[in-house]
Amino acid sequence: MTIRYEEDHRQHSTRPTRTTVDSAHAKRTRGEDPAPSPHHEFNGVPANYREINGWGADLDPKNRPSFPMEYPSDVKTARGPVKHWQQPHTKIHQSNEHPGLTPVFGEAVPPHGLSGLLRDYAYQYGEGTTRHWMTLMLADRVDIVESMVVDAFRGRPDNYVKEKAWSAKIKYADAEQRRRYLYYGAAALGAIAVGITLSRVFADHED
Amino acid sequence: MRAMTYRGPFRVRVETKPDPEILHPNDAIVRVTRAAICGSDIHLYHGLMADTRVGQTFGHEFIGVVEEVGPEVDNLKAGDKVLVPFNVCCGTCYFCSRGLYGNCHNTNPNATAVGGIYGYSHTCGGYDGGQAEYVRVPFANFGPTIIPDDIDDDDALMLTDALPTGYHAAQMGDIQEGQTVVIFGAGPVGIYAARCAWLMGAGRVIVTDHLDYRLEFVSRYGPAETINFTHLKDPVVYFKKITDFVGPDVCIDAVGCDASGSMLQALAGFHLKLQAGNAVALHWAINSVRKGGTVVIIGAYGPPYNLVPIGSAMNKGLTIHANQAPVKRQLPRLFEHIRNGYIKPSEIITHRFPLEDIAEAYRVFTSKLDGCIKPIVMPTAA
Ligand SMILES: NC(=O)c1ccc[n+]([C@@H]2O[C@H](COP(=O)([O-])OP(=O)(O)OC[C@H]3O[C@@H](n4cnc5c(N)ncnc54)[C@H](O)[C@@H]3O)[C@@H](O)[C@H]2O)c1
Ligand SMILES: [Zn+2]
Ligand SMILES: [Zn+2]
Repeated sequence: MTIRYEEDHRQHSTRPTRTTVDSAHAKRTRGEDPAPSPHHEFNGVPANYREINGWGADLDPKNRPSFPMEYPSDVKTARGPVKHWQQPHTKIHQSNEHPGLTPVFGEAVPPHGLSGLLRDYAYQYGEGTTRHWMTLMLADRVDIVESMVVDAFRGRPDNYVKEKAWSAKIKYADAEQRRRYLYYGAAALGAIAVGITLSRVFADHED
Repeated sequence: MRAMTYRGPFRVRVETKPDPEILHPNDAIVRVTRAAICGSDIHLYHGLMADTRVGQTFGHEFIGVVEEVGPEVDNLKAGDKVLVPFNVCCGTCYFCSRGLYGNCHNTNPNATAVGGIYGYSHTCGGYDGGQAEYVRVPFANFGPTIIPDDIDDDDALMLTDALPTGYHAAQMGDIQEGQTVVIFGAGPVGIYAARCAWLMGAGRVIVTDHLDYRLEFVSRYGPAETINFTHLKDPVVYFKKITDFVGPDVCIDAVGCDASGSMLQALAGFHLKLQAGNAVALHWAINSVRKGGTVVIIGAYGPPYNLVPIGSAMNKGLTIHANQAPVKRQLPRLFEHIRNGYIKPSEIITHRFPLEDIAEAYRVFTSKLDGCIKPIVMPTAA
């Protein structure tokens, strides 16, 4: 017995041919949609995908700018040629998977306080360890509390309402959200009214 | 200068900070004329990225005018209008020399797993970002690209990250003619990925999200078939059904760690912090794609790890392609596509805010208010 190989046995696609496309479209127009959800929308997609503006412009891999993913290169060292090195002004934390500082780096926020000590600890461990990342997450939380206290003393206290932009929630709310706020508002007013009444009642009893 | 600063989860404000300085002979200082907020900034805003320090200025999508250059910068001069790719990269290290500009080894001392990124936590190099009046741009000889006269500013801004990323997502799908591509997420990245999937020759493009207004937009802009996953009992089964039980050829995760759609994933990711955010979209992508198919991870996840069905990826013989987009490599081709009218990037911009109102911009974008798809901020009076 001989096994016959099809000329092109690979299945390229779940919708490989013009015929499949046309029949799928015909099915849809007949209401026999393979997509059973009534929420599945086909608006704007032409029956023949080749009609789409720009279709296939980059079908040829030669037109795809990152193909292949890697260029050939004869650079063999991790850093390659480096002419100048930035000098640090503050403490720069460094992954222990780097042999030293990188030629450039950011100095956005120098480490400080308890969160800084936690970061020192975290950076002793490699990027493959949970301890490294979880300690940094913890340090971030400590940093938030520290900065809140420090900035309050510096005369730049946190303004939660403004920083969280609660105003936007109202300003840009849609009708449904507005209605929800109205309900919350009404409920809050109701609660206050009940509270006042109850306190009056109890106050009356004390008399 | 005035600059956005991070205060803690869900809180940002605008402060006066010292102007940036040239710290290396290859640096430039850029005066920002427009900056955008990216879906990646949402992860920082929610406090999901390790080593995000209070006081850092975010922003890795910006264009501007060169104010000053270091002594070694010879291809830019003060006054040049530039778009700055979000990757801080040297162009000459082991990885850059191979074209992996999103994986530069010379710009991020804090980690080797990720390259340098402007305004993206100290895990990505500790750089202040572009949601400010001025930014320091390292390796200015290599990264910044002069904006051609026929490319308008809003388009140029989208070319710093969102469009090259969407394009890269489609490209990493290795799409062959007629293939079916499912894209999870109808944010800027997913929308551009849908448009670009056609350029690569796709035969069918389907986008899923839970926000109808975004689905409506992508259905026209892609164009694309759309489905709101909250109407589906099981999205994975659904994608099998609509592809004659084969499964889509390519699934693209354009959501990342701020996904919604699974209580368990959200509990483990957001509340208990036992994984880097919510990985439900990637979970769906791996399960939906056909055997032998390709899963593209373009959505961002922080370290250390996530709950995904890696065993099924093996059993199904999947190819997984993932990376930070090497923006600089995509630019020449994307300029051509814009000129040919194949894509108009600025059409996704829905909101403009002055820098001083950036807290509102973050709120509107992250809470998906007012039909927001892409908000931009205008730092200078210009
Ligand atoms: N790799 C890169 O180079 C790169 C560059 C830029 C952005 N990104 C990442 O891409 C992702 C998307 O960015 P964006 O700007 O479009 O953000 P976005 O937040 O605007 O978009 C995400 C979309 O996903 C939707 N979504 C949430 N859960 C979902 C689910 N389970 N299934 C399907 N959709 C779901 C959301 O409703 C939203 O519309 C982010 O994670 C971002 O960090 C990566
Ligand atoms: Zn981004
Ligand atoms: Zn490099």
